[in-house]
Amino acid sequence: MTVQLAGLAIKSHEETSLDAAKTMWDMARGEQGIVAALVGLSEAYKLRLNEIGVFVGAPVACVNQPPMSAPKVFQICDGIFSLDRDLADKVVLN
Amino acid sequence: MSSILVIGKPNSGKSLLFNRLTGMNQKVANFPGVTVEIKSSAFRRHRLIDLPGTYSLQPITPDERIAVKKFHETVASDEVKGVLCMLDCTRLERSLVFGLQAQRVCQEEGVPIMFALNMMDDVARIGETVDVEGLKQALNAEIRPISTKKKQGLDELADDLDDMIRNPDRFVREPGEGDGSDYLKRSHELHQRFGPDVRAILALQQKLDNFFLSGTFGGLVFVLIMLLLFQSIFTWATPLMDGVEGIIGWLAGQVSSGMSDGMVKDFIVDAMFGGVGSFLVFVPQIMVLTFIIGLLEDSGYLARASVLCHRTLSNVGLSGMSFVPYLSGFACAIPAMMVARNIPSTKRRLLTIITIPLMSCSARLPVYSLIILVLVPANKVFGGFVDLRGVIFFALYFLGIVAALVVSALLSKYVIHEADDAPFMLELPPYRLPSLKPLLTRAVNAGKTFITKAGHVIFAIAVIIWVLGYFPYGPGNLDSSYLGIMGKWIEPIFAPMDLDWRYGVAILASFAAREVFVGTLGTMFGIDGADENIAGLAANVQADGMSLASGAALLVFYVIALQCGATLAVMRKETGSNRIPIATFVGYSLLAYLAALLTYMTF
Repeated sequence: MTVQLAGLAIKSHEETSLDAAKTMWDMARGEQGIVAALVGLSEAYKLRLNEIGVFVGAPVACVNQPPMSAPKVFQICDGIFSLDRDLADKVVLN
Repeated sequence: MSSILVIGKPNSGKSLLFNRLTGMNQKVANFPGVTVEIKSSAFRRHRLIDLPGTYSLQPITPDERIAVKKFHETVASDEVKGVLCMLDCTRLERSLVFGLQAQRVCQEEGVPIMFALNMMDDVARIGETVDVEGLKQALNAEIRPISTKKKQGLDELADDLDDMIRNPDRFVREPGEGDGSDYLKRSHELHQRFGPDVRAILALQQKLDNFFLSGTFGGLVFVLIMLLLFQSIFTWATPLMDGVEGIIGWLAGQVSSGMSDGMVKDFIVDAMFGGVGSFLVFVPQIMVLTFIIGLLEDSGYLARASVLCHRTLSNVGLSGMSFVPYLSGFACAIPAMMVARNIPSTKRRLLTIITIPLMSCSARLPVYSLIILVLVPANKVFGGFVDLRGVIFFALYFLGIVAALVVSALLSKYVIHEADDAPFMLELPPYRLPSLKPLLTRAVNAGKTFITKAGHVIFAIAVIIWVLGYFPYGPGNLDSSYLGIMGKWIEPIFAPMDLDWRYGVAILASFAAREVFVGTLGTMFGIDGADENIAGLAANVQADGMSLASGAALLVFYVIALQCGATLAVMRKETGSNRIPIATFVGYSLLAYLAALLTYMTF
């Protein structure tokens, strides 16, 4: 939970921990990781990510970092998907 | 007639199978979400219904919602006697996620279901296979391995479908292992046990992506491909256009030489050859445009282009998913608006729909071509590699894109404040070598559709224009004809751009359909005595002395103006609002006029 205190946004301990955690968006090209949690997503998107293969314990790999600040490209299970920062930042890795 | 529903995940080959089994020519492409309409057609003694693809029965996009709703409705009704679920064996796990959910629903409703295991040829090419028998037993369902592309296993599949209708009980079974609730885990296990190792396919895809999405070449290749697209419209189509022009000119000569002078001959030469004929000259360009867009769609590159564009488009309130509807808009705005259904965000989808009409559709091609032929010399530039007319063509399309981005940015900032709630997520399909025959068929069909759709409007307006322009004083007296008198009433509207009443009449007539501009102008020049060169309307306009400033103003007007009733009707249907199409029409008309005036003043 985020609270406002004297005009400053103070984050809860849980959020601070998540900020510090590595997410899919932080992966560099060629890097692999294991999904640890999906945070801050609507149920519909959480389920959709599960269905394309992003679930706790699943391996994911960043296979491309296209130019023009484009979304990154990941190998997820038997498919290649492009996810933007809004989504990839909500997938926390081990 | 018994109906069979064809379902599956996006880009699993449903539409191609539908075409193969029914003999139809429904659009197919190597891009997820190309089917946005529910299509049906006769197959043997049954009816096949092709639904848009969906990853899951829990939809997140408008096209998925349509597919899932229709799926539930039809399996619960008596309409459907069987379901065919397509599985892509190169993406077996993802396909099974949807397949297992669909199988469970069918079993609950007592509807027969079977699976087609598509793209077996791709798996065989890398020396892999699927344990079909094992998968059959585990799923407790009939599975037919096929390749829709290579037409393998299709006769057997057709027999299976017949059998499913005749002996439904054989296809209504308890789904295999598991209780159906954990379809994610089960699809993973089934893939592990029976599926192929597709790492070789993914490795090849990655190699190509390393080039097409690379930081060094990705952006450059994208611009080069787009430039090539517009260059080809002129360079590849020119011989065909010359051929059509020659045929029309020859036919006009033959017909007119065999007839005695009089009103009938004047009508045939001016309205038929001058009006309708001058429009036909530009049909090859529409075919070439369709061919190139098809080439990009089938190759799998479009999904990459969507990724590359996402950030830029996001900055103006759109999405990378807007790229494909925009590109489709170069052919026609109507299907493009429907393709926008696979954009999950309501705001981005609305902005895409409103700005699609600014993409220069094929109906604008004849107008652009005519004015470019009049104003721009056929010079080669950049060391003789690039056609100057092609560059101007590119500039016009580019202007439409820039206008769309500016309009979208303004609407996003000041008018449509709805929060954007949907992130970007897109599957990148494998690259595939496009097949020539379907591409050629699609190009020829685009030409035919264009002629049949616009032809009757152009003919009707050519007849009206000819009657009003011919009477009461006959040929060579256009200025004093009824059309001339009426045209001079509206002359002040376009006079600030130094366009006389004939262009004013052609512009106003083209609010019925943009292509009418060329036919109307052709008819008027015919009546006015320029009929020695029937199909060579460009030469006639050139001889008439159109200035560079007037021509440029006219081009800018046509880039922006929304002169298509069908587009407005579809916009109304897709947005569920009367206000949006009316406001868009008025807004673009005013903007087009002001931009044209500004262009004239600048030149």
